[in-house]
Amino acid sequence: MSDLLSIGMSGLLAYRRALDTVSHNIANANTAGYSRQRVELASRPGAGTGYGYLGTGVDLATVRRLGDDLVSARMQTDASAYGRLQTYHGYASRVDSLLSDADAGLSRPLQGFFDAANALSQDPSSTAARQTLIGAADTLAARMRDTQAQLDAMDGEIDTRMRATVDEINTLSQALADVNREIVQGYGNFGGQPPNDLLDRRDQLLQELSSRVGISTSAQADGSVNVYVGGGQALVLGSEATALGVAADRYNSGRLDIVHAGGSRITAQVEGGALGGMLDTRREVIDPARARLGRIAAGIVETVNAQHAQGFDANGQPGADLFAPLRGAAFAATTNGGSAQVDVGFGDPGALGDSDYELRYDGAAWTLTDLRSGGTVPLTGSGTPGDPLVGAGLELQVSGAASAGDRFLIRPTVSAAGGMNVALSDPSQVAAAASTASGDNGNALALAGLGNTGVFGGGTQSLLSAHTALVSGAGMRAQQAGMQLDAQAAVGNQTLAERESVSGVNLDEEAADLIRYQQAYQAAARVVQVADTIFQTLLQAAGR
Amino acid sequence: MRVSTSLLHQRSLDLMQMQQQSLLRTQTQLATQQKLLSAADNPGDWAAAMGMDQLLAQASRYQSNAQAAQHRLSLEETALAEGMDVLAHARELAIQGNSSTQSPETRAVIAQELAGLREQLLAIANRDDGQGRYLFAGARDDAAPFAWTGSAASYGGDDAPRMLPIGNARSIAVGDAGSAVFMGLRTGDGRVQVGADAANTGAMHLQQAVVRDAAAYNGSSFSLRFTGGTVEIRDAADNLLETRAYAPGSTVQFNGVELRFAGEPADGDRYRVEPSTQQDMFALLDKLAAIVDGPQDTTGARAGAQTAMQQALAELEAAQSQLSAVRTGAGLRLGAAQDAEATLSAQTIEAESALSNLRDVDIAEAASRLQRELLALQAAQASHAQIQGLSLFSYLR
Repeated sequence: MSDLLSIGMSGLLAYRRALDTVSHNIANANTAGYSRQRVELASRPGAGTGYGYLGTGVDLATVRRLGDDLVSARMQTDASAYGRLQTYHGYASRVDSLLSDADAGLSRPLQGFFDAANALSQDPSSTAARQTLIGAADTLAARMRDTQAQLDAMDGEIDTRMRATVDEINTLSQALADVNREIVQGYGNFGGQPPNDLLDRRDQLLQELSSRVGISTSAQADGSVNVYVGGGQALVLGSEATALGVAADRYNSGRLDIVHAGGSRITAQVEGGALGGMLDTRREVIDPARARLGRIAAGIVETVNAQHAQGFDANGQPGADLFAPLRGAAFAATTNGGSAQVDVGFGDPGALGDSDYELRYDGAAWTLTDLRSGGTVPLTGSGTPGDPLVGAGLELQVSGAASAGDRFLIRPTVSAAGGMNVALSDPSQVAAAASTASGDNGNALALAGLGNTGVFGGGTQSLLSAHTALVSGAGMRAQQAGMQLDAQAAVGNQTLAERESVSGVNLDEEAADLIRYQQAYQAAARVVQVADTIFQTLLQAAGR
Repeated sequence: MRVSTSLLHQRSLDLMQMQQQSLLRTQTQLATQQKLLSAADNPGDWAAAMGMDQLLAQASRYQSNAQAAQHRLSLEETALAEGMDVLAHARELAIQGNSSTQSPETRAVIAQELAGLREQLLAIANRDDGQGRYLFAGARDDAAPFAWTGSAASYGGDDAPRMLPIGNARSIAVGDAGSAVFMGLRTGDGRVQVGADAANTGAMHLQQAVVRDAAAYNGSSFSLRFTGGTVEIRDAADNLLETRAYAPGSTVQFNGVELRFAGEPADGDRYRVEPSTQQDMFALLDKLAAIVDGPQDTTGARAGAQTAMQQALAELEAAQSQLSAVRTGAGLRLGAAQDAEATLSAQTIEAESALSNLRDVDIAEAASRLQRELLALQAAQASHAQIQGLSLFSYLR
């Protein structure tokens, strides 16, 4: 009789726990990262008797968390890829809109300048036409500076976001280390029973961390998970977290490098996530756009000034610089022993590229390396003001003494457009004439024709087609990023659907379970009642 | 596959979000009438459209040049037509003044009128375009190019008229340098000029003097002296070269130059044959006035005036044909500029239609797409509402 009661009681207890679990599931139906739980029931071992084993009821084996580690790992990979593409696509679209915009783009001011030169050729001595040309040049220069400023602002924004993201990564790493410790304790405290909700919490943290930076994980025997970033630098080892940081680059060029706790620079190894997206954006979107813009600026300034110098102004003087000459940026490595500084001027625009370069001094000679292709650029000249180092369309003047091993980062075009300014203000100084005759329009015509004249790539690409290439290149990147983002979103949705099919809470299912477990509970209660009735029957029989 | 409740909810929201995104896009396309909102929508088409824009900008520059050229050239053409009228009038006056019926008084009046024509032609040559830029000054068009010095005109312009491009590799001159219009004439027939000696007394005067055999003409001066039925040919230093028999009305040919006279020469009458010299149109008109106004009281003087008039009329004819040639050239360029403008307009229309294909939205297509998307969104909303209302819990009482 007591068996009947204890079996009934075991059922009551088990289904009470099962109902608890169902209600936990229902309560967490909308909790992010929650994995549904299920009680695993097991029949108690039978009690052996001479006539066989009699069942003794039900036991609650464990509360199982329905999860798939492989799907979780894929969720993390997806989050990294999506985080990267989201950031990348955001900036690529902004650059695309900036350059494509009919009002904010460069098309109108560029055409406006050549239109003004053409109008001047119709009436070369008109002060109004000359003033218009200076005005158009000013508009063009202002738009160039403006575009540069917008791109610079995006670059600055990326720096700010990089700092913020690194902070977030550090917070998440610390949280992961803490959760790791709690999980290890959780396993230990209750005989190896899994601390389900902590495991969910850890998966969720890993998910959030991977949306910020690409990570790899390895599960440890004690239940903790180690997390690595980039090329295997540890972020979390068991219950210990290591912080990432940001630091100025080796040239103090205003660029930020990501550093690992030990101080090693891991910028080149960081991939994926929002942080990887920012680094990729900087390298593939912002810098190329700025470099191409700077190259166009340098091309305009060099060719327009060269043409202007061939003509004569209203006073019969040879044309002075219409635009102020541009300067490229150069940064000395912080490790340099010498005091040398490099001044970057522009020479032949036909040889000008849109790369960054490294200038190195070996104690006797200078070498210029293209940082994109890795190739060495042939240099002529000695570097003195009268005889600058000439290569890749640049004229490099070295002042001060360089020591062997000194290195300089040369970024000729990245910020060049920001320095574009009109040097002339007096309309009479516009050199419209190819001769000293006031009605001569030869030079104005030559200026008007510069837009379609081959300038870059050894004279194969005109200023206008370089601008088209800049805009369509940025558009191409934005389009690709958009398509990749859409594809990644689809992949992510697929993985999410898989995760949800295993771990997600279906309320209808829980409702059915609720009914099922309720009925089972009621049945178990009935068993207890029956046990009671039988016992009462016995008592009555014995009581007579 | 199991479906979780939150996924069902989320997915249906995501779908509505996507439909709203495409709805927004279609709406923006319809509002802006632009298919491509930025280069990312279709980088290839965008680049092609930018190329087309550059083409259109270039075409509009050429068009504006062609219009400016037309303005200048039609001003020039008008001026040249007036110049031709002046010369034609001068010709009438000269012929009228050369008639033997004129009295010295009437000739003086005609001469005065001719001098007035010279002033009129000078005003034409110094005409500006209404903005202070002189039509016939070449590139030095900031000052009036011509000035009358008393015997000839001086020219302060240059020889390079302004060029404007009106098409790819096609430029036209938007004017003619005054030096090529009103100057650069030559006296006589263009190679030689003939003058009667002032001391001549006979009635003989020149009817025609031309270089018949250009190869034989060596450019030297010589003179003819008529005496007693012969003509003596003398060189510049008055040395007798040869003597020929001369019958009145016959032609004399020497050194490739053919001369024909009318009337009887008096013994000792002399004519000089010299290489042509440079002369401008204003000096020519001045010379005509001087011939008409000159004394014709003796037979010799009358014959001398007739000889001079014969030469001057030949020069006037050359001047007329020079002006006519310049006018024809200007007219041709005017036509070319008009043609270019028409061609450019046609090209512009073509390019604009190509651009419109690249960039403009197809309204009918976009409107029907909008309808379709609205329908899809409504369906998604309705199904979301229905699915959300569906729960087993609703049946648990």
